Amino acid sequence: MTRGARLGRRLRLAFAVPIAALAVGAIAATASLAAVTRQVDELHAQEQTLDQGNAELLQRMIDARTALQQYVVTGSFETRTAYETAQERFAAGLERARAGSPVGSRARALVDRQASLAADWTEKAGDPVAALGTEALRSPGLADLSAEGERIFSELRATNEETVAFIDAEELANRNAIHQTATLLGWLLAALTLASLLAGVFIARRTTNYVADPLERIGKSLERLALGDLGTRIAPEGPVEVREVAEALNLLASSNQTLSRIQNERSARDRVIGDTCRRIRRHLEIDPLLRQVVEELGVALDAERAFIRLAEGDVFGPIRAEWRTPGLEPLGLDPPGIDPVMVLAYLRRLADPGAALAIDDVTGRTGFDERSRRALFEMGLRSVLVVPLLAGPDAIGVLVVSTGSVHHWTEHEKAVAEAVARETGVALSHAQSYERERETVTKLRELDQVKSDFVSSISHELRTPLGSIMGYTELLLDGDGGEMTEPQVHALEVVARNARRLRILVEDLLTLSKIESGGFKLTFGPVDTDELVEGVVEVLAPSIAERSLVFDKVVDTATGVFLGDGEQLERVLLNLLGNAIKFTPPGGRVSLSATREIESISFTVTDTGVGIPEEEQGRLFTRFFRSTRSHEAHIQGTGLGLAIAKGIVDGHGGRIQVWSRENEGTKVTVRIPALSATAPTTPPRMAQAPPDVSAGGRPLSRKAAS
Amino acid sequence: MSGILVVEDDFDTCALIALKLRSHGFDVRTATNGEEALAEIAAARPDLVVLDIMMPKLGGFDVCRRLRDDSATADIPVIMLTSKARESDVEQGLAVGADDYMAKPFSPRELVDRVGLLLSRRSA
Repeated sequence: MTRGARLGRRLRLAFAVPIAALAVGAIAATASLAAVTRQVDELHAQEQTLDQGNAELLQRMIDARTALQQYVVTGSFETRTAYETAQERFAAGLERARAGSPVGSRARALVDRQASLAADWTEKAGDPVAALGTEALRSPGLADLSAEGERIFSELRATNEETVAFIDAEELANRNAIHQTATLLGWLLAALTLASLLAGVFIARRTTNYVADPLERIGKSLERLALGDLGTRIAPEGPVEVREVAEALNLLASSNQTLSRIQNERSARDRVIGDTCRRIRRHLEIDPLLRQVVEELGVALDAERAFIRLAEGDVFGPIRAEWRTPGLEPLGLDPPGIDPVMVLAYLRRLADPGAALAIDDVTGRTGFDERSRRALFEMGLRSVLVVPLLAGPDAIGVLVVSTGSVHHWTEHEKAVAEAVARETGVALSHAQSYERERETVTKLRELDQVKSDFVSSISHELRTPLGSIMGYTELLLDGDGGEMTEPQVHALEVVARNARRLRILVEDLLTLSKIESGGFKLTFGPVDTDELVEGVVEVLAPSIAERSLVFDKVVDTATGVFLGDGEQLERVLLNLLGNAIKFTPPGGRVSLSATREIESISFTVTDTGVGIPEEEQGRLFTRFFRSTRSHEAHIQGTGLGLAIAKGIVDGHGGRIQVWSRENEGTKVTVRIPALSATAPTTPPRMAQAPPDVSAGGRPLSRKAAS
Repeated sequence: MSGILVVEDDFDTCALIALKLRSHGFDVRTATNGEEALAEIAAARPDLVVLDIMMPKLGGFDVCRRLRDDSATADIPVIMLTSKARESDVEQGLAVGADDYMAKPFSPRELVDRVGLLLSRRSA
């Protein structure tokens, strides 16, 4: 089977050959049959004509003899006519017999002999007898004539019979010939059909193998390809079409293999980039971040050196981070030839601002000036990859990777460097913001500390002169400086009152500054609720009376003793109840109640005073905040009391809540977690106070405070 | 007449205390720092010392500690003048052996009361 036969041609051949053979066979058989039949028909017709002619010959001769005999006997004219008619009819029979026998054939010879015998009879017997007529009976020659006639007649009859036998033989021979021909044709047709069938089967089989085998191999190859054996190729064989399919599949497999390789490379690269970026992102501080970047990239790209320079304003700073393979000397902070400004200017000319600039060989054409290239070369930087670090559109640095020998930077390497640079840019700007933020926070903390220190020290400094003022005023009022007039006493009392206000302000400022700086310490000890409330009421009773207020005190019997800083809580309640009194017009109602709740002690102060405008309620605990109502009502205060109260309550892990409606009143609730005083534990959010102070210091401090 | 040593670096405060105590019949001497105070005590033993904490040269705590360490002066009553907000001062003052303390700013009247109280307790 030749290589490269077309499948179509083969298939056409496979079908055409048997069909054509069959058709040719059928046509040939039909034609042969027709020919034989025609021939047989012709022969048959001829023989029939001959047979009839032959029979007529004999019949006419018999008729002639019979008529002659009758004529001899009767002498009638009619018989004589019959004799002549028979003679005439013989001629017609002869003509017919001749027509049925071809010239030169044995049949013609037999007919011709009959004709000559008949002529002979007529001449030797018939006509002489006829001429005699009835006379013949008496003629002595009649007997001879008859004998001669009979002899000829017998011969004629024999010849006629011979002719009949010949015709019969001939017909038999014909029949045999037809039979043989038909049999032969049948065999031929059968043989032809068989041959066609065999040829068809053979060709079909060959064709099937020719097509199916390569197709099967293609199928198997495809299966291997599908299973991942990407190196599989199909040998092109079989028909052109199949070979074309195989070649197309090989092409597909090749491109698939290429794609797969690219895919693998890409995913490997993505993995490298991903890992690197993940590690980069861990750093929040600039220097560790940059060190990580140069090391990661240097290792990932199998480079000799990797370093970073950062922008400092409009120029670039020194090398901020450098990585190099062991055994290499550091480049130094500001190596010649690596002018980042120039590098950046170059990079900026590129379409993609984040794209890497790859220089395979610095001695070749690079876009750098001669001096820089030589300097790079002398430093051992033969091949460099330069990538800008971007924060948004701004270049905030440049990342350089280099090798000591000529190196072709692949797209893969460039992509890795670009991705890492991109991530570095982001991480770097984060780190920078973080550092700035941290600096700001530190600065703010320092400022806050300075402020607290200032407030604290200024308060301390205020105390001494204030102490003097108060002390001397008291001294004078006590009469230690001699007798004083009424106006003098009044003036001194004003001085004393304002000095007291000033003192309270200073103390409050100090307390608040301690609360805010975290230096405020509560002294925890057992607090008796009854005593606490009673103490507050005792202090404020004169004010309540002075303003003619109705006062309700409700202390739940279950409240008992709890753990807290009694002095500071007293301060809180004094402040809250003091506010209630100050902001309630004469005749109003104020109350102080203490209730035991499930896990807390709650103190509630209510009043029917001016209330707090809703929009101001959120700022109540802000230092120096004073309600507009206090200004309207000319009520004095520092605006520090509630801020301090909140600090103290917070210090107890408690909560302070305010409900208020203008011109209706205010309700303030303080909830202090109810810690058991009998089993002291560390109070929430507060360092435990030194035991000797909480035990021994308190009575003294209370004495001092009173 | 009881002799009282007032140790206070602020001149006006010192003068105030001295004036007040004198007007109540005490014999008052003054010192403006710790060293001076120790010299005064060594020169003549006072019946009571009013001692400021924050002073140049030698602070109130050191003075108090030295007084307590010396058997000759160990029993002299000491009232310390401290700032109330400073819990650590109170703590330390008591630790070094002060008998009482007063938070600044203080009332001269109350100081006189306490001085009287301590002296009467001592003589009793």
